Amino acid sequence: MSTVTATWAIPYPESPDRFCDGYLFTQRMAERVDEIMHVFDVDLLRVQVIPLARVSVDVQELLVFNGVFQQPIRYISVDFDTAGLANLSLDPSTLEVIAQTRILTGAYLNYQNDAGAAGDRYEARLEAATGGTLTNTPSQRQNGGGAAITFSFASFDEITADDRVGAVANQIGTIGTVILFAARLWTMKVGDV
Amino acid sequence: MEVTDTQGFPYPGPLDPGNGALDLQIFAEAVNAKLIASFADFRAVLNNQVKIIGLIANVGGFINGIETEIPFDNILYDNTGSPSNLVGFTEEGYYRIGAFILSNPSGAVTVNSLRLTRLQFRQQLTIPFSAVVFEDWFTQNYESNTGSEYQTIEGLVRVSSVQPPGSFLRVLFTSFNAGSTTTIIGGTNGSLLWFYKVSNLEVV
Repeated sequence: MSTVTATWAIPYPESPDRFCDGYLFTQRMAERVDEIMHVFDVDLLRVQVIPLARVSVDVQELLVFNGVFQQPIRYISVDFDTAGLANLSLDPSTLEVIAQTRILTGAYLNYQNDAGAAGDRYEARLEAATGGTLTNTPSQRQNGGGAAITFSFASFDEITADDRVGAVANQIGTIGTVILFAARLWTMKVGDV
Repeated sequence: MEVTDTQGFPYPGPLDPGNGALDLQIFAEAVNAKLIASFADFRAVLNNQVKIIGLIANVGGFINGIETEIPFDNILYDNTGSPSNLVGFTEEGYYRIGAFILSNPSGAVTVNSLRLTRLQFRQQLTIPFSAVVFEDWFTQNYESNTGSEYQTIEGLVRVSSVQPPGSFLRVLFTSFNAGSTTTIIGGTNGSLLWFYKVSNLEVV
């Protein structure tokens, strides 16, 4: 059998192939279509369940801003994780990026200032550790606090062992303390590189 | 009859009676059935569930300090198969959820009074039996002067059960404006509540 279709290389018989070899023609055709549909199935599985994860902390925590005005959030719960992106025992503040990918990441910080000065502001800021690019998109709240939500898109074209994304609480202004009531950090794949 | 390794497509063996036309028909029908199933799965992924709902008109009367549910009633887009105004989930999965709330005092304004919006995700679990999950996503603004307050809130949630009485979203709003009641703005360019599915929980 020497003839195949143009795009998917599905074999088929043609003259002067021997009629008595018909079972072999059907077998080769079936095996080739089997390979093609297997590739299709694998791709379909990749989009049915995408890599995503969310970590959170719901235990009240006091963040003291005293000379250091940017502090990572320490998450304590893995709410869900479809691809092994969360490893809080290794790093309680970030989610890992484990493949070349494009991701959407979000952070939610619900907090209230305890002793801030008038004019102080507090923000949630996303950061990427090594590799990739992640545009800083801080979300700010005025003195008095509130919930800050921020998003950012990142493309990780190369992957190293340290590629991670995380959120920090940032104080802009004078020394103060902030009570963190709850925080959530999530990331999800939106496309291949 | 033999079958292929992964998909189980049938093909004749060397000892099967030679009937080329019938062999090809059986194979073709197996491929046809596989393609129907595969394209159905593919279309389902391409058309994940989305629901966007707004307010037909302004909703007034939010009283100082009283938390009240915003009665969303204007379905703008819905492919969930559920015509209800209830922003309920009909499929398990991972969803992005969000709300945009626009509010305005009806009269006098108490300076620096709080506007608190709570996007609440609720689901009824079957295991453990009757357990209920509540998840709150808050946002709050301080009204410093007259005019509208714009609040946006969004998150990512796991819907692992759609058992009755259902898993759904609702938005609770509290105004601490003592000078007058507060109105939630509806209509065109008004408040919105939405969800859209981004992933299955597991492979179908």
